[in-house]
Amino acid sequence: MHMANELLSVPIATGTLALAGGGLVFICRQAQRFITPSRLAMMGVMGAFVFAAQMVNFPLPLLPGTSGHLVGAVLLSIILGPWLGSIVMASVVVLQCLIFQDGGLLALGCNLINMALVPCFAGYGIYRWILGDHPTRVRMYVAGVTACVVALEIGAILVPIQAAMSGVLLVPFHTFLGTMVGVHLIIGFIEGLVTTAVLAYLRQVRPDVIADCPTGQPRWSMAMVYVSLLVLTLAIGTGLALLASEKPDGLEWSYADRPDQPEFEPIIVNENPTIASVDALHARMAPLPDYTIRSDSAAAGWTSFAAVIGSGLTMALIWLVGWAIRRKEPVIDASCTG
Amino acid sequence: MSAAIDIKQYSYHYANGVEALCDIDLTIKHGQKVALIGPNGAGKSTLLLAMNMFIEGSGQIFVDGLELNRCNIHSIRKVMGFVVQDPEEQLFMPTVFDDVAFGPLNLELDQEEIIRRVKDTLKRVGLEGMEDRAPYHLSAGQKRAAAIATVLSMKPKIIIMDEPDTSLDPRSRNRLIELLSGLSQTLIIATCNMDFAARLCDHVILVDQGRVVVQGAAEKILSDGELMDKHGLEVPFRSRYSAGNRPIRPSLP
Amino acid sequence: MHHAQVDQLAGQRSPIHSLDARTKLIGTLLFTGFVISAAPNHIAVPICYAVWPFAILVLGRVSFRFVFRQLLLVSPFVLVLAASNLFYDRQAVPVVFGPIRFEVWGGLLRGLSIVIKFMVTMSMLIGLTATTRFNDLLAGLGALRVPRLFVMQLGFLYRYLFLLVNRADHILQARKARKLRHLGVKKEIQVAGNMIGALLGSSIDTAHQVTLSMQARGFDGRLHRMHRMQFGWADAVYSGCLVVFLAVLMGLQRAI
Repeated sequence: MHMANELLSVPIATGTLALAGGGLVFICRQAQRFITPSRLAMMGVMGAFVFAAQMVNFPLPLLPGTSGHLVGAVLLSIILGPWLGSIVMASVVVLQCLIFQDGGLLALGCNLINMALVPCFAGYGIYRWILGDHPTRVRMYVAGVTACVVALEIGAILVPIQAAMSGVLLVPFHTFLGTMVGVHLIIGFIEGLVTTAVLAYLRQVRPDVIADCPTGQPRWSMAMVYVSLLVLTLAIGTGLALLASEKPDGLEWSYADRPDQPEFEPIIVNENPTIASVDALHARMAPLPDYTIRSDSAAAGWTSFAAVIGSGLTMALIWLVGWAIRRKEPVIDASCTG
Repeated sequence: MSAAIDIKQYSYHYANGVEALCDIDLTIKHGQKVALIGPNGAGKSTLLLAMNMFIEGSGQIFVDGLELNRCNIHSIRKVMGFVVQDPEEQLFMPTVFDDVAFGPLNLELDQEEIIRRVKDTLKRVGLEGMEDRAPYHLSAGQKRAAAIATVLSMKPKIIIMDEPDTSLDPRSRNRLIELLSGLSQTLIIATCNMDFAARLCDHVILVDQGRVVVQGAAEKILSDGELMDKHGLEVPFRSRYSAGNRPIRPSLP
Repeated sequence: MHHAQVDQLAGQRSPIHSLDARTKLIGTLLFTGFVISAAPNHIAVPICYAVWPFAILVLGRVSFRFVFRQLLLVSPFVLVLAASNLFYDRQAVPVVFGPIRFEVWGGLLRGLSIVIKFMVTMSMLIGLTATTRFNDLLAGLGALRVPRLFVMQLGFLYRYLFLLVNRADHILQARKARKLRHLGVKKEIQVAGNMIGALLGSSIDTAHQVTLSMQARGFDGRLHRMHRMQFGWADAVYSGCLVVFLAVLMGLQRAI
């Protein structure tokens, strides 16, 4: 589920962007140590493979008329290892943002964390943990399904947490969380089934791929299990802490009227100290302060009226200029088809 | 003077024990244009991989007088360019420029020299002004030319190519032959297209079932109908007609 | 295919296309930040922000049909969440818009604000990618100190996207040609698994060949890069105009 710019506040968006960027730089540095030509080529082609695999859709059970497709994070980290896998998945998320406009540019940090970094490491950790030292066929399938469900679920839990910390949506945190968890339980389960179907196919037809995949850095794998479990605990812990906070809903915004000035837009009042501090942070960090108090709503109404009309006129002017330029140089249009 | 490529008693087995190459002995002189012919699965590609040390078997391979081994493989790959069969796999960078510059960059040349080489090479293969094109925007013939350019820009002495004539229409194939015959490098080309081999190469090595069956002058081997038939090949189209019978052209309605 | 269309648009020539990728990338980030920091119940200011992406798209010769289709395609998630605001704030809020005065639910105002901001920032993003060739964008990212490995990975990914998506298309056509009825869920997933597995197998073969071709050209794992980027006066003009535009809208936001 791609996060949009509009569901985030500036501090949360830039903060997660910095976090994801820093994480990615760190992962790239680690990966640089064991990168070889064959792994590099494999990474590039596997990234494109994820896009191609996402085109293969299949009908979802229980939800007639809908279809699901592979997400790919866990499959990638099973085949490439968590370090290279997360780089590939991150490149997929960046390309989805830039070329396919899935998720906004400023929300890229959140999307990288939710859909690439966390699922790859957590998924791989769980997969390895369940697979253990004596992998059997059944164990591999159980590990695949569990890893997919948990990895996607953690990513999904992070979405409402980020949204709640931003405070743009009015949807109560637990409702949003419940929906995301529910939906991703189905998605994760399907993802797990497809992932194990692919693993089963590979076991039969291309055993070399699962066998000699460049995950063979035993130094890493056990450390990875612990890191992933830590990430998992932290993520779920934060989610639960937010869930369990004050009644009736810790993150619900309450609106208060301003009886003294009935024309006022309601001002948001918040009794939750966390939210209050987040609010204060917004006020400091945002280039434009939220919720300005209007001195005169009628004058403001006219200003916005004039601004919208002015914008419309400007756009019309720009369009005319563009049209004039295009008319003057008709040659360029012909050459751009190539 | 040492030979361009000298292979002595070379054999290679797949991991499952099947023999892919057996007692290969051959010599290729500098400046020769050699066609490596044989039916599908004869071991042509495997032999090419062996020359580039992508697989390691028993026996000796000398390239430009140096014996192939793990220590000097990097310096040998500077002398010997390898073009894989599918240009989609040869052209892996976002633009033609980046692809042609990839080899020179790995040679750690300075930037001006690289830019000059890329320009010169693209001019040489007829892709002038296509620097910024993406590989998927090129035609099949252009892709082939670009794939050759990626190797030419490294200024190798020997160029090895795996079936460069596949999926080309006759016009692009003619252009490719024109381009390749104009090169001064030693060329070793694996192909199943006898016509292509006859038009481009002066020397032929016939490989079947992992062994060198015969090597020698192209004219002599390619016109031997019995030999060709025996190994599932054919006498080139052109020479078949030049032997006396004129082609029968269907009259156009 | 959408990516091929974007690629084609980005290959055109226009004043916007000739700007440095870094200018456009940072400009888009800055612009997005300003738009989303507009108050969550404001409608007028986000509408005014639309002027900038509009100008980019017009001058960059991006067709509006393309932009609208793309916006519709990516909007469902945001639309659902924006609409959900209606359930949580049904208090009537007076809205004054010039001569017009009316009352609407607060949730509607918030939801509408989200949708408009979404449209504006997404148009800006389309304006970035539809006027910048991907390899220029990569060069820009490289110049902005994004790790080489990641830039290289993005380049590979984009290059092989075109190849593998075609391959997937062929496999899907083959399935369509042979599948005449709806199979059970288990069978469907198994078929999908096999198709993806086959795709994966051929991808791995491709990767193997690419490795050969890289190694044959002297690649040893060290990534080299060339710098071919330069800021021009057009970039200065663009940046200047953007800063003025954002400042004006900031003033407007304060005034409202």
